[in-house]
Amino acid sequence: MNAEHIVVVNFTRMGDLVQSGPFLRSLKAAHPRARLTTVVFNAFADVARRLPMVDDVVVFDVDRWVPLLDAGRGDLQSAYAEATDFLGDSRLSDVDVLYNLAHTPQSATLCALMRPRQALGRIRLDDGQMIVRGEWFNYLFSIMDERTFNPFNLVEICLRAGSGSGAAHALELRLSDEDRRAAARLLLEAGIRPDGRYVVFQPGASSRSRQWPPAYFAQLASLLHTRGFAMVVVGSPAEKPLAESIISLSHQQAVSLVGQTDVGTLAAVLEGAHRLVSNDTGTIHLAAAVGTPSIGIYLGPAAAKDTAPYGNGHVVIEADLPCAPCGYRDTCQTFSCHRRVTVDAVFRLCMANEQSLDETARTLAGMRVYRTQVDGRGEFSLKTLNDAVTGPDFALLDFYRIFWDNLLKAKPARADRLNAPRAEARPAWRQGAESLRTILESAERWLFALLEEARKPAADVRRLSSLLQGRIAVQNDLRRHAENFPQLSPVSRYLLVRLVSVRTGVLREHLEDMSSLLETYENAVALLTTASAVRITERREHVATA
Amino acid sequence: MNAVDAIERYLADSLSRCAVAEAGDLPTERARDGQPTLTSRGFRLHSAVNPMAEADQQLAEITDELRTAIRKADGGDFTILIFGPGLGYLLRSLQALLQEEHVECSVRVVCVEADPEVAKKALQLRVWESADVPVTWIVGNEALRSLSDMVSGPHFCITVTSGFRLNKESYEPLMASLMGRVAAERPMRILVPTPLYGGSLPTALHCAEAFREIGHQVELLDFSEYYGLFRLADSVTHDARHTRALQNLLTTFLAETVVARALDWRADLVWAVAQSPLLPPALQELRHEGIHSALWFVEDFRIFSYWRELAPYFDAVFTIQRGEFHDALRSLGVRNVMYLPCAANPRVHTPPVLTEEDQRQFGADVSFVGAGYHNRQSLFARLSLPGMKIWGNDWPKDCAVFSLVQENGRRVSTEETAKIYGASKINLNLHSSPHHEEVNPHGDFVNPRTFEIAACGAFQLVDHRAELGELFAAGDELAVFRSGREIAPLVKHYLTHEEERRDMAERARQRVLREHTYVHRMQTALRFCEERMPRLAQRQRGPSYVSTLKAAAADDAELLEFLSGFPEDQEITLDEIVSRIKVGSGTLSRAEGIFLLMKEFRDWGREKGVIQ
Repeated sequence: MNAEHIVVVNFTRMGDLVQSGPFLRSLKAAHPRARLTTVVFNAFADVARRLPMVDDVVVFDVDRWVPLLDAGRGDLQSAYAEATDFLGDSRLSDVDVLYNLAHTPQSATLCALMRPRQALGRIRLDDGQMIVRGEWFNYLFSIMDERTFNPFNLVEICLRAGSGSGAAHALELRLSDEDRRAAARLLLEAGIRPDGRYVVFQPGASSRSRQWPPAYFAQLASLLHTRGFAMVVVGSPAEKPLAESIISLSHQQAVSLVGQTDVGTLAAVLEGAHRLVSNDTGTIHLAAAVGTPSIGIYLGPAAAKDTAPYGNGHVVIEADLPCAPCGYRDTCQTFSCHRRVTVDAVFRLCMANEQSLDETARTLAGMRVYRTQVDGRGEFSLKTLNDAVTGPDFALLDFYRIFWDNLLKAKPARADRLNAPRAEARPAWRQGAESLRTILESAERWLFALLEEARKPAADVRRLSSLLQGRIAVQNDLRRHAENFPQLSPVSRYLLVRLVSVRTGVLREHLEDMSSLLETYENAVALLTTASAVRITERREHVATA
Repeated sequence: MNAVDAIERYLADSLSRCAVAEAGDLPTERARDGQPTLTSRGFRLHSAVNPMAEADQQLAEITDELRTAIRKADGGDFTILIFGPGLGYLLRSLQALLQEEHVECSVRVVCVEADPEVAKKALQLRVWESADVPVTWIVGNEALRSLSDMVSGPHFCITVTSGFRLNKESYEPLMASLMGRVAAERPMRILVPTPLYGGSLPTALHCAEAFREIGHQVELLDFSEYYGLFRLADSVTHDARHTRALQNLLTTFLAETVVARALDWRADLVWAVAQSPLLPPALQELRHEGIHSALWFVEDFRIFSYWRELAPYFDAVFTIQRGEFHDALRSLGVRNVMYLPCAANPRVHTPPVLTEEDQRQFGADVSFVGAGYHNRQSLFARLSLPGMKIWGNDWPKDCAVFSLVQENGRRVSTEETAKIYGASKINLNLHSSPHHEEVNPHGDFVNPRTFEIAACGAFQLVDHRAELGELFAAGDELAVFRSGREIAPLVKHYLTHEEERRDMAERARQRVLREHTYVHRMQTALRFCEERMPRLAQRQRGPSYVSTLKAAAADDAELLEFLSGFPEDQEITLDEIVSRIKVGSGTLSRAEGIFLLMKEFRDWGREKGVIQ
């Protein structure tokens, strides 16, 4: 499709916005003549304006608009009027393709109100039904709650959801000379010379479970100080107390710029730094965008494979514990993972250069140390640098990477690498695949009965509507499957998202979507069954030989 | 201009002029500071020390509210009505206030005086100034009837306590009619949670009906449906502690239900009656959320003591007893306390149509309807009135009068009760007491039955109560006994004087219709709430959201079409609008989409704690 106007609704936070850069760049590459507009919340307008591939930034002033909806002090009339004004913006009209990168229902409603010709992501149909459209968006929704077997970095998923072009695009952020001058001024005022001999700390995080203790940051500051480095603490105004405690515990060997930087100056401060040491935050992606190597400390539910900075040479550390990373809804009393990542290890990784990094990391115990890599086709991977006892099942992740690429056809098929999982897991795997096949067969029978009834010249409406309820049985079967066969749950979860995204308003559309879903389902079962995988491998080999 | 002309120019119409012309002269008295003051029918109308200071103080109490009302008039015409002005000291204070303030409205003051003699004296003495603000007096009951025609547009009512009390019966219906108009213009959203059972359950229903009749929006939370669940706690265990714990859980659940509904519906006021399931945490939450709450405690405070725990959390407490009870409430920190006697609902309590069968079943020389409290059992056993019928439940089978109890002491419906009243020559009404052998000599409040029998046009013989005299004329509207000994001679007399009985019953009924209906009570209560709760008075409802949107969206055909399905005269919330949007059946209009968007972002804002 040759789009002339593409709108991307990006109601996300700073980190996600920066990570959407390669996706936006790939859209631009696929539709070089298209005008690319992004819609963001007011708080992140500055970040969006610094994405060089974006032509227009439309700001949705949520901080101004939402209070108008307050039950007591609000003004619904003005809220209505402002919504119509917003939707009247010419930059949001005549939209060929719209991508909704946000997950929320309100973003889907807003997208529907723009009346695009084509919409992908979470959307509302004309009749109001909320669905997720686009194979990779369905995939993205299927891993929202359970990411254990997700082999892709967030940036990769977005790339696949977009144009699917196989080129590598780095994270980008536009910086001006004024940003750099402002950063230099700030640093000088804080007594730091902007000569690259400083390390930036980002000690805050979205929750305490993701936060490396401030005392550790303070000890790290003391150690780095002995090597002649200055330390700069950054963060939002709410993180001031955290910065103060680090400065106090490190005996003033760090300075704070917390609350003093906007996106431009923060990025410029990062640009001039030796390293960034950070929890899993937006700042780490900002550093990647300006080319500064980071040491990411991924604690609590933060998983390196999902959200490590997209780029080459960043170091990401996780605790070497069977519970790490934990689930989003898990609660923890001990925070053992925080203590596994030692100050000494982080210090040594900070001091290592490109040549000595692998050697330094190899000796570290109690944690998993990875180096990020992005190849020429934009494929992201984590290189394991030490011998950890626990960690992701990379073999299974590899399997799934090829499986999804095959099934959702974003990349050229590489079924030759599609091997069954580890031998010890095979019986359970086979059982899970068989169970999926059984559900598929009953779903096919059900769809067949439905088609039969629908095709009758005088269809029995009561029977038809009772048959339509059969979808719920399939849904329940898949839900049970996801619980019973965790290793195969990514497949059942994906099918579940597809199932709830089937259009229900018009029977013909319903049947079309169901047929398409069962086609994907059949392909998935074929790919999952070891025998099929072998057959595909053999066939590929024959083709290769020929 | 001679003195007569000077008086006449203040008078609103010829009826007022006639009333003043025919009025007698009252003697002028002097307050300690030398200013004139007045006594009418034995009541002093102004302070005997410093009438001007008294008026200044009274005005100061309502100045803020008055300012707000004037501001809202937004520069247009504005009328201030003074009910029972006496000699007009408050008018003088008001003139001073209006001169001090820069008022952009065109204000006029109307003094409403039912007593021509008082008005005549006021107009002769004229303690107020001739200022820019036009002042009109409307005098005498004849002229007062046209008051509501004289007042149009925004207005504010001030009652001068002593003067108002003297002719309350004349002023109250006028204020009610003006208020009814206000209600229609600015309806409140009143949430009425009912008790699960008991005598105050029908009271809650009557209150809700009255609020509706006045023109407010009412939502009834009828908790009587939960009575079965409440009783279940009784039947599952013999351990009283368990029963209590289970019932407390249910009460907590229902109290939270009230809060949830009040928030969701954006109620202005939660109106509870005795036994409505509300608890301090829920009431605190309502207060925190800016929703007012009021309690009408229609029970004997000496017998039920739970008001101590609850009353401080209500913004206003209405009682059927005063004196000692009010002192106790104030000592608990309850600031807004008002005496509000029981009432009748003329739609339910109305003269019944009796068939021959009804007459046979319910008819009697003397009847009593009510539960078998100790004093009733004891007194009725001693009375030995032949042909007396007792109706109602909770009469022990072994009590001396059980032979008089009809149909095995089954519960009687409201409709049957009206029939019993109508079919009986004399309805005996003895206020209950668990502590006395007959009449409670210290009984104060008047029970609902007194009003209900009267409203049914039936004759009653009722025991003396301290508050009865202010509500009914003893011996003229109903017959009163002070002890059991007085009953038999009174019964004998009235059984043989049918016409007297009929006339008294009719007068009592007229009195109820004039003064003692739930509509009267709820008007009084809401007026008090508005006086004491500025937020309630200032509620800015104005024209409904739907009608303003319609006006603003004249060129948005789609929006207009969507809104055409909503009533214009009612306040409607975002949730109510969205609940009408049908997802999955036909294409959503842009207007529907925007409302959905507004609700989704509203929910999101609430989840984030950014908005309420």
